[in-house]
Amino acid sequence: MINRDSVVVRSSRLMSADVGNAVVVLHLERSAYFDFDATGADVWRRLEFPVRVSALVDTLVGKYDVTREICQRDVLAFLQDAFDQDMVQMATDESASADSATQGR
Amino acid sequence: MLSLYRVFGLTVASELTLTGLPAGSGAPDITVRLGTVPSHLPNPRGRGVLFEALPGAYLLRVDDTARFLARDGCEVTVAPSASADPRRLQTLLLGAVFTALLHQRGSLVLHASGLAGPNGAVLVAGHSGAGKSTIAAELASRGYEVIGDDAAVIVVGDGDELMVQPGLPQLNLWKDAATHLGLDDATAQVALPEIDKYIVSQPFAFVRGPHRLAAICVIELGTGDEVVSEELADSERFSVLKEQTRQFRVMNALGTNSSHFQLASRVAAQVPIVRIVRPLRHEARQQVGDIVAALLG
Repeated sequence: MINRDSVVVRSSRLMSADVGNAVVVLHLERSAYFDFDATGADVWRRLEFPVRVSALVDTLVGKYDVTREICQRDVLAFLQDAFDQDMVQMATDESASADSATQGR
Repeated sequence: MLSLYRVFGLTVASELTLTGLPAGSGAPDITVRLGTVPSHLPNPRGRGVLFEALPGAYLLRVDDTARFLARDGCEVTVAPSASADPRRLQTLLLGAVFTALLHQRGSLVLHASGLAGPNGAVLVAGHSGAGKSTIAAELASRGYEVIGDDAAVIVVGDGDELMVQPGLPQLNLWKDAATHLGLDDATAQVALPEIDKYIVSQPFAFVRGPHRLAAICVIELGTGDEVVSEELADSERFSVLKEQTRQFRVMNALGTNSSHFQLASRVAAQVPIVRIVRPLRHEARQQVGDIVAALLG
């Protein structure tokens, strides 16, 4: 389970492309496609490098008109779903590169 | 004996005689030969009722017509059955088999008709029965050149621009659509006896070369009585292109997802996509035609 102390990063088995405000993603091994609307895309773009969930929530609370409680709930749901689909993986800490994040999973 | 043809921007050398295509020249991009074709592929990655596919190979089996094997985007072997109807043979070769080859070559192949105007190429996509060919015929009768019918091939051109390659120089019209457009039997040739469609090439003009992709329209049949159009939101654009990709399942089995994804996401990001919802009645084609004509310039 992903929690507020987890450090997460995009899976390395993806291709990702911007379409205006939205983002589309292809999981190469599963041939599965995903798309995110503007808000989902904003979160997705912040997962390019390892980030701690609590820090991500801090950033988003500062940007959007949302309470911390609701933001954390929505972000955790988004990340858990992405993790279950192998689009996001756990990293050991924020300074970890994408490569060592793969090993630390 | 190989004859040279030109279609989808490619030079095709074929042992099978193909009708209605312009002559090609130079080194062939695709070679079509008669030969033996296995009835199965070893460990296919995907299969349907008529096809099997894996990276680099596509097998199509249509019992009363032929077996086809397409390899590496450049080679087709055809094993026709004794009773094969040559028109059906050509329809399958230039349709399903070439679509697989074009996927192998990294093109984006959409289920769309194409027209050319001052602004460039405008594609008219949609599911079967949405009226793609009818709209294309409507615009062709207004004087726009036709790029192709039913299959639109998008590539990245030499100038790094998105280009649409010319398809077959013909439109496939339902009999009632042909009648509404005033195309009588003298100009229409019956396509396949069991379906009520005509292959029509006169009196329309067809492009000979590639055109820069200017816009894509997606036609849907609606329940209302009005024609309604809207530009797609960013979040809808890619999924519509994915839906309109010809033989998407075959493409998945061929394992060419990454090139498809790169090209489709680039089209989604750079090209306006307009959804046009139309009622079924034939008169709507004029209003839909006006919307497409505005995009063509």
